[in-house]
Amino acid sequence: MAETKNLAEWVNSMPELDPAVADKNDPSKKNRTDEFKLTGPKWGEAQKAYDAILLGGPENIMSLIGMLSEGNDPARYKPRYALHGLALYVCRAGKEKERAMLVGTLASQLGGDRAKWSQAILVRELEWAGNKDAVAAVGKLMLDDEIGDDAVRTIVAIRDGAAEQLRAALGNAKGRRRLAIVQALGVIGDAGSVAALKAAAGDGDAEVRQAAVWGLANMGEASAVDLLIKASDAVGWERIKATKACLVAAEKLTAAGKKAEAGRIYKHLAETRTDKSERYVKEAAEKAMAPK
Amino acid sequence: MAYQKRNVTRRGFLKGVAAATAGVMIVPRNVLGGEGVTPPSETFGGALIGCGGRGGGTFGELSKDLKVVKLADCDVRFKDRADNNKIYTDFRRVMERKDIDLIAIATPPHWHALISIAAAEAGKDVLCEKPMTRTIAEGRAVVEAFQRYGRIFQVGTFGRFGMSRSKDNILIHKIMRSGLLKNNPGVYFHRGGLKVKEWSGKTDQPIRPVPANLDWDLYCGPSPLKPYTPTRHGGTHRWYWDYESGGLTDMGQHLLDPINWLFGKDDTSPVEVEASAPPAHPEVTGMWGWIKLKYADGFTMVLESAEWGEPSGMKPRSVKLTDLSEADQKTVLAMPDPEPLRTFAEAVKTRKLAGGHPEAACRTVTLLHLSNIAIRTGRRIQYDPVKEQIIGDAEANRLVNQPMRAPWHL
Repeated sequence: MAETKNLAEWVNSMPELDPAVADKNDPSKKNRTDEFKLTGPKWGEAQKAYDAILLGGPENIMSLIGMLSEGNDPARYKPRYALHGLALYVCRAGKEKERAMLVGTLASQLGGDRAKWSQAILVRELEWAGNKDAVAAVGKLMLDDEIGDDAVRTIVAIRDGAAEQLRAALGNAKGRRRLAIVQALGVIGDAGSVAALKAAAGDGDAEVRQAAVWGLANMGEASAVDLLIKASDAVGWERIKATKACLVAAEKLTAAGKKAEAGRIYKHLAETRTDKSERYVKEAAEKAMAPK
Repeated sequence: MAYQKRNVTRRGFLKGVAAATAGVMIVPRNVLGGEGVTPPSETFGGALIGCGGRGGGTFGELSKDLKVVKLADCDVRFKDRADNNKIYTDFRRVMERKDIDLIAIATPPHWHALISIAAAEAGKDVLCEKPMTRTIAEGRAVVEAFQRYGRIFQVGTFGRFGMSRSKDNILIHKIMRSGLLKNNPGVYFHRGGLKVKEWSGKTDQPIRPVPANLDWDLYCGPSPLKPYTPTRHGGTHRWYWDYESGGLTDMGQHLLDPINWLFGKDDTSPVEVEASAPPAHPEVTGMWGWIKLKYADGFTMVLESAEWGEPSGMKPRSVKLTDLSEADQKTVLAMPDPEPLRTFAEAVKTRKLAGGHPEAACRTVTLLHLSNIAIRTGRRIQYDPVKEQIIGDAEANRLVNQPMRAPWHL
């Protein structure tokens, strides 16, 4: 009990927000911009609170999580602010043990019965402080309709170990969740994702197709050149994006010394972007092909 | 209540878009493209994306010294009246139009890079409001896109044009660009005027139903889809890390863009950044006291908010010809003056870089993003200006290229 009280005191030591305007009808206060604004402690002062909270270990972190509240109530901002401060603080050099404890505790609260709004906050803090030890726990949430986007974002930010989680989740992903995962695979650019991205490039959903095509281009995947060229013959927005994918892929292939594959892309664009409205693409391709 | 609510299903949205696109009249495109010079008599098709706040002014800048016919207005608040002919909600439909050559962008900043890049990909030239981007990686992606497609980009701040006309400033610029000042004693110092408290966020604002005219999902775009609160758009978007990142980013490109030209830093970035600020809030921007940005040659920029904490203790120190040896002074004085900066109109007509070109704009906005990373992490940042990565702090580096919500990516 004493520990919990101590935690509450430390959390409460975070500064109050600037006060709300007392009388909204007072014209002299009409233009005030400071109500509910954060002034913040100096880092030196905040660190005392962070150190004390961290000293209490997982129990304190669990209690702090329990102090978080749903919705937006300015009067109750302190636990969230304190938790974020901890996530920033443990990323400092020399705080590796504390970071492992914090990350492990946050990750342990994911995927269970805890309210989704609460899990969302924890996932977002792991975007700052999380590491490969948190990836599996965050990965469990990637198919969740409410917090899946947050989970994917955090996985991509952490990167280490993310590709395996994303590939594992892809098979069961539908709609928006599938799109987010396919795009994340392209961002991570792990060689083991080529087959999955090639399959997604033929998806019935235009946005999934575009994400997959871009992902393959982003990886400079030589075996995807035919697929990219075919994709570039689409119309409208999809044509614009697939053309970009082609040019990006060709640049990466050229940089990797695969000039023949890059040349095939440039040649296709130079030969097909003959309409006046696409002349700029033809010129971009021809410029790239020109001897340097 | 579900944690996130969407007004429109994604498939429903795409279906509507396809139907609307089918009705768009495609007029033959005017000009642009190629290395050639555009005739001065040419009329351009223009579009404004982001029609609130600065929108009218930005389109005015786009049209300055050019004959521009406005063919489209696009804004996420036009959901109840978009006809996909003259009024649009979705900028992608504007990009598909072949009769639009020039795009003015005045959306909140979290959209600046993606719409600029899309415009380049669609063969259009761009005048984009400041700040150029919301992250460092976005800036680099804009640079690459405009190089790739040979399009023109000008950031919507013009202080460098005046700055570059003064003889004294040209001399400082030449001293800096000469590379002869090895241990640079220069300190650019600025105090106040960065609207720190004014654009600090109010925490925990009440959640409200999304207005019928607003496409909230599209507004959030690459940023996380958060529950709607009225303060998240309409000017007070500046309070949030998700969209603009406070007064520093809002005002900083105006302030530092001319300075970056003056001190010859249009093609590089600082190597060390330190900030005095309280621990940051995860959602909303907050106070800061000072920021020091030090370049590899020793030149330092110092910003003081005069709104929080103690002063930096730094003083301004100009760069002088006498900082160089006599021989080096002669070398600098013999250097040709830099080419006059081209306006957007001149750049569009000549197909050469505008004064506020992508690389310069990227380097200026990088100063602001590095500052905010130092503020947000509470840590001193070491930065590699060539790789554009933070050194030795993988977690801070996560802020250089923040993941985007699908389907949006660089």
